[in-house]
Amino acid sequence: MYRKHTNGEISANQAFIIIISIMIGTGVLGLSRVVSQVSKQDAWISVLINGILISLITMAIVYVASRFPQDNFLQYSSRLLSKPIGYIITISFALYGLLATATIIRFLTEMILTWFLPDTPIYVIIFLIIATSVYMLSHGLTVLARFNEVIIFLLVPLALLVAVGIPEIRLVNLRPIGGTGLKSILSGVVPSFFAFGGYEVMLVYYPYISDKEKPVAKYSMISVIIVTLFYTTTVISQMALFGPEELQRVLYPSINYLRAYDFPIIERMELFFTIFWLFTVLGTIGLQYFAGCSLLQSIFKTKTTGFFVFLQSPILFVLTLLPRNTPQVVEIGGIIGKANIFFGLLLPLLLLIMVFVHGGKSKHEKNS
Amino acid sequence: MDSKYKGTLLEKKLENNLLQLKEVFKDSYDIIYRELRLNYHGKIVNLVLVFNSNLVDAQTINENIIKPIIHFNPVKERTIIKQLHLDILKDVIPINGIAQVRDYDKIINAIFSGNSLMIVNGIDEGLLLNTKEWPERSVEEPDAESVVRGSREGFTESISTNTGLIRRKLKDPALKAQQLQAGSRSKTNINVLYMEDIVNKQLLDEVLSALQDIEIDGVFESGYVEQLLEDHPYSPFPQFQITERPDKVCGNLLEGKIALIIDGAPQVLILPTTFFQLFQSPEDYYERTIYGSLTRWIRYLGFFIATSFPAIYVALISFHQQMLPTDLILDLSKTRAQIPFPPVIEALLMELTIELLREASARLPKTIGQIIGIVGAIVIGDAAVSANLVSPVMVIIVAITALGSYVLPQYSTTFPLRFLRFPMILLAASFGAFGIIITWSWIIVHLCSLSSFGYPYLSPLAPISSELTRDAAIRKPLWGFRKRPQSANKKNYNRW
Repeated sequence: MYRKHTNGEISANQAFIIIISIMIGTGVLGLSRVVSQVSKQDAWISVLINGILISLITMAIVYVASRFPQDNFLQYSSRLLSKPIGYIITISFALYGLLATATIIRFLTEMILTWFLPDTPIYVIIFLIIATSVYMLSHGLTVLARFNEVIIFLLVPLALLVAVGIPEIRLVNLRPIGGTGLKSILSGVVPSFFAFGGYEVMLVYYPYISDKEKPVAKYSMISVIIVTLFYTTTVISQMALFGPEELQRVLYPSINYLRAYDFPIIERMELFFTIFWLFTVLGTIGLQYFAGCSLLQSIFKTKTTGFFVFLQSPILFVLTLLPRNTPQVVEIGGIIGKANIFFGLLLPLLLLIMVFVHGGKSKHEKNS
Repeated sequence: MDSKYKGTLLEKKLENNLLQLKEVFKDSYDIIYRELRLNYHGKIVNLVLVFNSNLVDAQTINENIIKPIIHFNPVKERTIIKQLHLDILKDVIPINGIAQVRDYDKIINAIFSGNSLMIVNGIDEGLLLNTKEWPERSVEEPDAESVVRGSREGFTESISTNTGLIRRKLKDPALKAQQLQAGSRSKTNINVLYMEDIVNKQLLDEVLSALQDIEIDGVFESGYVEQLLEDHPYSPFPQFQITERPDKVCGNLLEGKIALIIDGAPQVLILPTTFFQLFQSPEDYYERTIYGSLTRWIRYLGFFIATSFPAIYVALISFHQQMLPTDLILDLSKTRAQIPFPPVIEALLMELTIELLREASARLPKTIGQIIGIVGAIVIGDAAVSANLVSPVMVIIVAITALGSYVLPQYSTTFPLRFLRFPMILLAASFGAFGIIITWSWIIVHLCSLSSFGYPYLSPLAPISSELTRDAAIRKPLWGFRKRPQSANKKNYNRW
């Protein structure tokens, strides 16, 4: 414990928390609407299937990364896919990290503008968010991981808020279970995939884990399952409250869900939800941002990531200001989501196949 | 800074030594040179006793040194050695602490610590005799850290009394007490106490070398050592635990912590310290587990209220009225209708007044302090409201905030609360709830980045460990304390 985890290392426990923290982000707000567009009342089955799929992908990511315990992402992807391709993927991954961060920040800003500060200029809010994340990241990954460990406890009230609508829900809205058919349930997996995005940062963060002898794969699978259960209950309860038709007309069902019941002292329960949710999203922003900076560090071989954190912050600021209105943000979010299919699904599978092609042995092991 | 007498040694001739000593202690009225003579087998031997009259016990000097020397009779003592030897003098002087010295540096230091020096003509060595005696405050109940249940003993200004108080509670030879000196002019003694088989060796080495590296002319309080040793001097949060209670020190020693006792300070430093230790009071362990845990939570609540309550009020009133029930917001606006200031000015004004009152009452003599309390009650509680300067709700908020900051067991840990409140009010006034969230994120990130001698400050919450449910979030029953904190030596992980 003494003077451990100071040089940007994280523990296996922290990796477990990081996965939960980065996955629960902006996606949770509109999840049930997006999925129910495709699979109606069976949206929760799509979400569950997607969760199982993602826990398998996460296992694959950890498996691939654990073959190369000494290497960072650039090194092991170059080893598996040849050097030029490794560089191209790393650069695009870093770029994707930056764009994804910008999208989340802009999305968060839109939320703050709607709920809290309709009259405040948008760049002031963006500046505050970016300043907070720069401060968060300037101390390295260890502090970032610790920050997420603290705010993970705020997810508990967030999860408890699911119980708010229970007096009002009608389970009949969920029936007939499986009635939409296998095809639409499976095609509902695609939109729910985006809400789960973020776990792919394990490709970058696995090398930072200092106690790799712990069952990291098991930990990451458990954390994905926790998120899946959280999402599934969210979708079930919202579906049961609104029903598949009404759900289409609500932009953010997670918010409207909280209005279902009037509390004696606290009016506008959803604002309380937002307060807890804001912390979670700040954690997500930090983790996504740092992943990109860490990839850049591996390319340019600098000593600290802090340099890239500061370097990218003005770029991030400009990028976040670019979209003119909310529909445009949603549109850009869709494009980023498509890129997520590559980094979250295709890239881990490609790396996994290459591990098997190479006989599953790293160069390091061969040498020793 | 080393004194210029370092390396100068005593000589054989008494006159030379006396001249040298008189040169060293020139213009100091309180240094006494008592010349004595001794009949040793027919020869007269000159002796000089040098001491500081303000630091010694006159009776000890008279009865135990001068009297045996005057009445010394070699025949009666059956001494057949013809040459007078220091060992012979040692045999006749009934004093518990005797040491032989030659070095002037040591002599000067010893005389100012209350020892007496005896030099004999013809011998180039002197005897240092323990004659220390000075007025001391007796062991009293610590004012700043009182408990309802538990020992009433508090540390005093004397380093030996303090060490003794701890020794008496831990009768284990593994409890080591090393003595170091800091301050080139004050030569303050610092005792480093630790349990040899529990403490983390790497930590101990680092603490000892950091103490030896202290470069300052005077150390007058434990705060000097604290400021010179801490990892993050510009952080508002204290990174060492300060206590006046021996039982608290003993409990921490058994957890593998290191205690620093500084001469002249009734406050003892304990390190490394975590954020959650600031919320621990010895009473938590004396009372039954349920009350121990509940009072912890009252303190966490107090911490939250003391930092954020005025900010939340400002945010609610200026930005998020819709979050409050309609009846309440109507009542609030009714009381606020006559107030000329916006809520943020009102809050800052009242908080500043409270800080003024607090600072005034802390520095004044106790009898006048009560008057300050009355002035505060009348001015804040009544007149300001009647004059429509502040709303009555604001008075309640400020009062609860002040109460919240007092629930912490240690007075000095309330400083960060008082300090953080103002930026939070300002950000809440500018950005509402979002401002409070941003401020809290900064506070959490800052706490995450802190360390106390390399030990993460926010542990056991971040990095998370099983200690969280043992001694932080809840206070387990005492039998649940079998494992030591991870900051201790790994080999002795179990307590019993």
